[in-house]
Amino acid sequence: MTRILSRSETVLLLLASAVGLVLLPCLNAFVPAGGALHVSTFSLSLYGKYLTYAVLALGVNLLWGYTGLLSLGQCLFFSLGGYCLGMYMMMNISRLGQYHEAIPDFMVFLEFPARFPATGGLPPHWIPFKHLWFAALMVLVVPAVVAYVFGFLAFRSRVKGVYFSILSQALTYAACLMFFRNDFTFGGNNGLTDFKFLLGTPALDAGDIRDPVAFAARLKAGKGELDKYLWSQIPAAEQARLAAAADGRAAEAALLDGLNRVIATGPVHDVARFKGVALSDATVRTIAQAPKDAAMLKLNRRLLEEAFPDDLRKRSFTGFVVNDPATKRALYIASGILLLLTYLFCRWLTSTKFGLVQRAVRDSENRVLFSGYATPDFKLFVFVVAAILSSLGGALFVPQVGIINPSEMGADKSIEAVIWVAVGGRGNLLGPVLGAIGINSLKSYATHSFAEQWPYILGGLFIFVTLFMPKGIVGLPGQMKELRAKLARRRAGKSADAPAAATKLEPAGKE
Amino acid sequence: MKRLLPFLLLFLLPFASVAATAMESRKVLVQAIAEEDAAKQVDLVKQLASSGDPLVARGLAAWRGNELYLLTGADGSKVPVLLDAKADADGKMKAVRLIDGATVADAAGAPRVFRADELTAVDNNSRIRRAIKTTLDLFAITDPVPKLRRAAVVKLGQEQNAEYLPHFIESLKTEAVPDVVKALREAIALTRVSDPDPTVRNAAIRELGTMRSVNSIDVLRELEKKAKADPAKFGDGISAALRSAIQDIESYQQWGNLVGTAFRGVSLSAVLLVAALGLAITFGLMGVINMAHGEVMAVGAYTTFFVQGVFGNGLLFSLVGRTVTVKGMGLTGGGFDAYFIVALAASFVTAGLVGLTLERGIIRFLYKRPLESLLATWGVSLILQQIFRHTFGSANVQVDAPGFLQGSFVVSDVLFAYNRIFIIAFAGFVVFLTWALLTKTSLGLQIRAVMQNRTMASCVGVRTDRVNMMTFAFGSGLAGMAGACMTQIANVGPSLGQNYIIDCFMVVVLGGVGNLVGTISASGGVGVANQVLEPWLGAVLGKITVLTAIILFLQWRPNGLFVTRSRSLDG
Repeated sequence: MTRILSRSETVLLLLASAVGLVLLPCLNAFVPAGGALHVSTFSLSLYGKYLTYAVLALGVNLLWGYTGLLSLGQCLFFSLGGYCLGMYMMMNISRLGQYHEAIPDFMVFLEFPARFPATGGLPPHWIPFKHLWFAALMVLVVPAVVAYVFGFLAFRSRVKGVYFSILSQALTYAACLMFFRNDFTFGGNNGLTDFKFLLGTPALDAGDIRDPVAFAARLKAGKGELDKYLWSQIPAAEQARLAAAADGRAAEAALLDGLNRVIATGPVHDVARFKGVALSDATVRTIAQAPKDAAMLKLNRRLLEEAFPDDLRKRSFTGFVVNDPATKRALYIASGILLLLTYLFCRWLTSTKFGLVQRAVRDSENRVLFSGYATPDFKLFVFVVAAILSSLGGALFVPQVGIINPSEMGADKSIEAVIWVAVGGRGNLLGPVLGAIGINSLKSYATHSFAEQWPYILGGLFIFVTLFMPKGIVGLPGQMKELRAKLARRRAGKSADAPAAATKLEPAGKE
Repeated sequence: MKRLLPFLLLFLLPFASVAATAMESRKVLVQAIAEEDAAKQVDLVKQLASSGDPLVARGLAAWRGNELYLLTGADGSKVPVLLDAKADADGKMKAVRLIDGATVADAAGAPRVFRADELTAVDNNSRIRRAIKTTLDLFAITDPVPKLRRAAVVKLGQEQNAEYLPHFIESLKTEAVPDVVKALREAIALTRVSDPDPTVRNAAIRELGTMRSVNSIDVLRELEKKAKADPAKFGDGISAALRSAIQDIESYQQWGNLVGTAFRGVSLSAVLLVAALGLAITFGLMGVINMAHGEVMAVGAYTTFFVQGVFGNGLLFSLVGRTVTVKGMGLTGGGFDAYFIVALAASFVTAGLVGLTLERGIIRFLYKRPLESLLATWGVSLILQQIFRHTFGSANVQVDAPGFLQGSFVVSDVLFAYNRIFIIAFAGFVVFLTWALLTKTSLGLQIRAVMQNRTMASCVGVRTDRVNMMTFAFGSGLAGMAGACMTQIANVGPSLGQNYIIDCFMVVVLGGVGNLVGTISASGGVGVANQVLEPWLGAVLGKITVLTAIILFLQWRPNGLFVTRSRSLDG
């Protein structure tokens, strides 16, 4: 580590980690709301979003700052990662949605059951996204494949410079148009939203009911208050299906639909209903808090489990509630760790021999080519790596923001990501992080306080930075030093008439 | 029936004397209203078909809608009257006598007013209402405006009602407008297709085939189905006649579709060409990425809006938070239409000035850093868009088409809109202008010299800085004119430019940089491909397919369709 990271950088990273990963979450968790040092969950979640943006910025920087490839389509990969994780979270709530169907709400709304009758309305490629491991794998694989195919085609035919930028922009534009279509099975222009649970779901799944036929018979008999209530809550259609069920599997499907509807609809608990049911202390405490929304669904599931310990398999974990402050905090910390790891990875990559070739490609591709290096392969590798990094950022972005839609992959977003890097300073690792966090903080503040003027500020920033600060904020001290030296030289040359105008910043292109 | 004889005569000579006919037909109507026997009433109403008198039309419509009233006169006779649409404060209306259109007046000569519920409405029943509808429909085929006449004939022909047949034949005798004559012949044949006599029927089917009657294809297909299901009923020969007629019409339709698609493709190509040509100059010849190109187009479009306001009724806009009122000249007709010509020139000048400022202020510092010129000009585009929003509002503004660009003409069932034709012609003009500038002027010579070898050109005394400036201003001016053209086919709003920018870039990249022929052929290809794919895949998928095809095409020819040869390594 010491070889790769300089001493000052190590100190800086430790300091940043201490503040970002430890201090801020602690201030959120342990300082009571209203305290002077309290960090609200909203702010923490906002910072978490900036951190994922910073990961995206590091991806852009790896391409532009270190390899000289200005990709105007990096948000495509960011969104692809977001969509992959979003699909997993959609599957988590599919049985507990507004329509009480076994598929996510938007699919019911867009009449998918008619389009995919074999799977009950679920498009085939959605099915494996039920599993977290698959979704996580796809977060890595999908952008990598897209980047590989596009990069292979582009670099093989030596598309470079401005052409590469325009083509990557066309790629993200085409993808954006594609995702806007309802037929494309990713929610059309509404995208994926309404997430409730992460890493699990309180919905009853196949195998959770030990003996569906016996359990159904017990509920139907309606001996206790609770049995009666549950049976009354199961819709007539499901009751009919239960009656007609030929085997255990059909009965299970019908009972799952019915019971999940019970879990999804309202508070199951009622003092009269649960008289005589031994509830655990934790459950009693949760009932006292009268949880709403997603937390209530979790409680409903636990109540059922505890009321029928012999019939329902107990699951110790039924997912995190996305809007819970603790989950938000955890997501924030995860984003911080991801950023830290990305930073270290980029530092390692750029300090290897590979990094050296990478920079050589940026500075003069032809010379590298003539020295016998296959530059297209180098570029392709960096392109795929940057796509995966961006995708990871996107995957953590979505649960914190709670929505992913096609406008996230619009060409304008990608260019905005480029400007974070430009403002922070490209070709080093600190700049993009500073740029992403700084500009987005400014944006949040500006769009809140003077929204009308924000495009002027952003546009002006684009112009000012490219003209006067080619090395960004990080390069500013060096630029100042140069300027002072220049002034000193001039004053030494003709001390009699030092021109006043020379104190201005010179446009960089004139050199 | 004897007393009807004069009217039958009149029926045969419809244009003998308009005034007399009108008078007589009113009499017939009054008679019909007074008639007790329903069957006779219907007969009388049907006789009115060729009257053409507006008052009779009003009377019939009122009768059908229970708004025709009977007024009992001083002598006890009943006079049918219509009530004026305009009611006074008490809800009373003036009454108009059906027979002569005169307002009912009292002894002193002042108009009498009535409330609708004071009067008895003339009775009607479903039979009469049906007869009135037929008669009113037939009224339309004697309409003085040929267009309306034609539309009515086409509509009635589709009904295949044998009752209309004599009226069609009658109109055909006197009709002079070729379009209407064609429609009448088509309607007659179409009506005869449902004739019970097989000879008449088959002849009519064949005639429809030779006429290439697109309107009747549905009827013919339907008939073919029926004939197949029940051959005995329709007799011999009908299936052969139908087959050949349907084939004739279908092949004609395909041809028409082809021409239509080609025209739409060419017109879209022209739009792309006009939009991309400016970009081809700034990007292709100068190597500068101007992401604000679309906004420069929007400058042209807003200039057109402004000029329109000056020529017309004035406009309001806000400048740095202050509202500015520009008083218009209030021109109408030809004077107003001239605004568009002025706007084209004005758009060129304003957009050129914006381009000039952009080049002097920003771009000239970035010639060596093309990637960064992309970022800076993107910033410019953000700022310009917001300026448009602040100045003209974020909603789209209304730009009216000048008279000479409104409407369209139809050649063999293919619609040619004047604004599309204008754009095609304009694209030709702009290409000519650019070609002439590049090859026939000294500036063009210098531009080409700078493009080929900047350093060398500078050595032999070309002021490259000035050439850059002029080229950029010219390219921006073209974009401005493109924007002025866009006002005729697209919405004018702050995001006008954003809708075209990616397409423009693709056209330039596809065509090959620094090459006018390339830009022209690329825009042609993209435009036609879009229009050909659209009916199959829909607009969005078609567009995606074209984008993908371009990306793949560049695999094969990375430098576009037409390559400017260069010895430079990165050229």
